[in-house]
Amino acid sequence: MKEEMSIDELLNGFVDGELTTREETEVRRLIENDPQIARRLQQLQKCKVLMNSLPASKAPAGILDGVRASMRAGTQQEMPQTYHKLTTSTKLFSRRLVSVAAMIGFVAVLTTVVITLSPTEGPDSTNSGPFVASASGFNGKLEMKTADFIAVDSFLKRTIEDNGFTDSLSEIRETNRHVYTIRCGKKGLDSLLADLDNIWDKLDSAKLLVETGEFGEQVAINEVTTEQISKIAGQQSFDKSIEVAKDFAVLNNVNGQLPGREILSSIDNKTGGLLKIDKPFLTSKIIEKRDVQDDEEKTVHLTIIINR
Amino acid sequence: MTEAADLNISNDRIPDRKIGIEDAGLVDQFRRGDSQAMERLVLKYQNRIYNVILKICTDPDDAAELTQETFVKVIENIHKFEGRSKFYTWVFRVAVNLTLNYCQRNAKLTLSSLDAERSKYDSRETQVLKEFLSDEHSPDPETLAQNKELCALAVQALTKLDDAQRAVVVLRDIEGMNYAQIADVLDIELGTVRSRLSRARGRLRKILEASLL
Repeated sequence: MKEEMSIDELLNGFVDGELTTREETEVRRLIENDPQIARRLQQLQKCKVLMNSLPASKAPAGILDGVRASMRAGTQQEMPQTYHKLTTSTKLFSRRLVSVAAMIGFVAVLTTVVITLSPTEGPDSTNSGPFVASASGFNGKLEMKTADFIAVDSFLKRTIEDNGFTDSLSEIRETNRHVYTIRCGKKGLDSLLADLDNIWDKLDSAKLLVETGEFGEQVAINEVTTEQISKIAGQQSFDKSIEVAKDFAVLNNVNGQLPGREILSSIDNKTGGLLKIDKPFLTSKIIEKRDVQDDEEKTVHLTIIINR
Repeated sequence: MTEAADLNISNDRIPDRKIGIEDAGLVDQFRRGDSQAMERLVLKYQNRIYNVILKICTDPDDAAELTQETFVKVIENIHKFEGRSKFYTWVFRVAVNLTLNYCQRNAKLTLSSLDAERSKYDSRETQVLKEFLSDEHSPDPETLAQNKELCALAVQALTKLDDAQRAVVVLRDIEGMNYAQIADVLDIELGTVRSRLSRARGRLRKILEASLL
């Protein structure tokens, strides 16, 4: 058997032009004297030619753009202060004015409206992935939609790996939809969110669904921000998390209907909600990311869905 | 000498030395802050990297993502590139490692028994394959490339190999690397390249023959 293997290797080396002159002479002697070996050599050559003839596939357009986008996101992640430096003081002042006015409006709305919570969606109205209930802690599903699917997905995958969630990760990959489910601690989640914040502006929409613990009931927070997710998940108790989630659900819904969004958008020169006036920076950014969740209980169960 | 021995297959698609020198210059420029140098490298290699990844992982969407991820990793780790191997083999090492890890995680491709190969092909494909295998003349890769049935059979046979074997066949027969480059890319011994390639081609032959039974 060993001899047969070595003859096969010799023949392959001959086909590939990887033999020394002495080995080549040996192979030539073998194939001249043994028709079986000659036939074997021909089969190997055919096999090689067959593979060699497979048409080369061209990379789809947009690889370079995707790489650029990933690198830009990575740079922002490393230098969070840059974002602020680029913003002019005039813009900042205007935005803060609008922000204060908007917040006053919100407070007024919130104090007069009895918090009848936003209608929650059905058990899985979007039919978009697993949603495993847990007895305690935060249990949520983040649904993101983006036109920049490849760049966002690639960034998210890397971020999950960088934050050391690979052990608890489960993935479902479909053509237009990737689902990642992770279990982590609250600090770990903050670290992940701080990273995700860098690609938030690439999302067309972001909705958080929070499990209430009652069968089939979820709180839906449209246009959710990373800061809001962090606050919801960071509450001391499960009930408090639900309460905060409901508040944000109302706030964001009201925010979506209040006048002034257009003004803000024109100031910002991009679309955005009042709650997104300033790019949220989490204090947890200063936390060392890797292995941050090692010493804490994994009470957060988050399913992240990216849709194209 | 037999006709088989005369068959001359050119796999030296890569003018290696030239590529090495040009790449080293571009890597140097990029390290000095010229981002366009890296863009040139991406544009230069994206098709070949994509092609190799696609032939290993078989899914076009995944291949596109993995290609992008390869270049992101290359850029992130460019400071670790010491120039001991060529940039060309280094990029391929990153790409193949990412792809093999991905295949392992997803286990999308499963080995099937040779018996299962029967009845998967229609009579036309079987006939084409029979003619190809029994033809004693030297096949011409250009002509073969036009033969869609045969190409489809070759792709199917390739997917039946295990990941490591598929990688070595793709790097040798499709990308045209020599054994030393393959050893460098896969970080294995030269002897392992020889034996793995030998086993892979042996299995490919059996898979193709099994489809004729």
